[in-house]
Amino acid sequence: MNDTLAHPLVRAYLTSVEERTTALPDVRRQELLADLREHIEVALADSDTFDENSVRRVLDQLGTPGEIAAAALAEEPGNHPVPESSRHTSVTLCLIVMALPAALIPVIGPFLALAATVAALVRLWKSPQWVRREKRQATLLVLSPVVTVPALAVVLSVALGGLTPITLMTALLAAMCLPVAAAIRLGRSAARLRQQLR
Amino acid sequence: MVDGYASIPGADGRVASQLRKGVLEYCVLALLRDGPRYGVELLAELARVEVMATSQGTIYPLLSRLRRTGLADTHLRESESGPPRRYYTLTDAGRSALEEFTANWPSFRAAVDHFLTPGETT
Repeated sequence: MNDTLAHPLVRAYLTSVEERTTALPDVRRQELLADLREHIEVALADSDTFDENSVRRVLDQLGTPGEIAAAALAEEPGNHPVPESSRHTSVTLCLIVMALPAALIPVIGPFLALAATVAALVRLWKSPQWVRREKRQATLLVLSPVVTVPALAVVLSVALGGLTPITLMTALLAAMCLPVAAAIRLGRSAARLRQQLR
Repeated sequence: MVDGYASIPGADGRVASQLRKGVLEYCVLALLRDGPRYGVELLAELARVEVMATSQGTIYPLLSRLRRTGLADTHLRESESGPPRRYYTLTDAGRSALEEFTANWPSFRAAVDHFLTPGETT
């Protein structure tokens, strides 16, 4: 009866559940997918016909992949992101975005940049609204300028003939892309969570 | 469709889903009281009562927890048509959890009714 699981609708459905349950422990995730596979096979064996319509009906009764993922995540103890106020979130995201430009301020700039980065990371890791995976990714992106700024400065100075304040500034601004991307992703995820629990 | 439960407005609304949260697992245990049922059959039975009808897939994480906490057990049984079926049975621990719930439910229901009835709480 493996042909039922090979049906494109079924494959797309199971893939979607799999993609939405990355936050689950692996054992739990495999178990859920095995349960759903079994259900689909049995439900189709129980139905009198096997065609597009019966596949659709079985999947409709199962519910959307999003609903199932939410139910599975809700069963997991201590795995619930809790939303924070949008103001608290904004401060964290501002620190992430402003840390690098702050380095341009004369004399105290580098200290400000360091302080903002440390503050942003402490707030990020203390926050209950992002899962560990999101925090790890964001941390890498926030710290990326340590590598990208010198690398870009070298490339630009070779291309433009010498290290001038302008090349350094350009390198800094270009390196901002990754922390900004981190802030956008964190902001979206936080907004989704607030929306869900409204 | 079970008479009397036919169509309560908002059976899929927020209130209904909040109410279901606490009692759903005991309804599942109750469905296993008289003997084993396989997953698809169990969920179809649950869905026959509109108030309890929720997307069937959302029950699987609950069934997984019942297996894990030893309230239900499963075994595979060959079937004449199609793949083998996974049958759920009530364990002794599941039976006593159901009995405890059954004992508590009437006074719980009476308490809620008491607060909801106008003029009862003055």
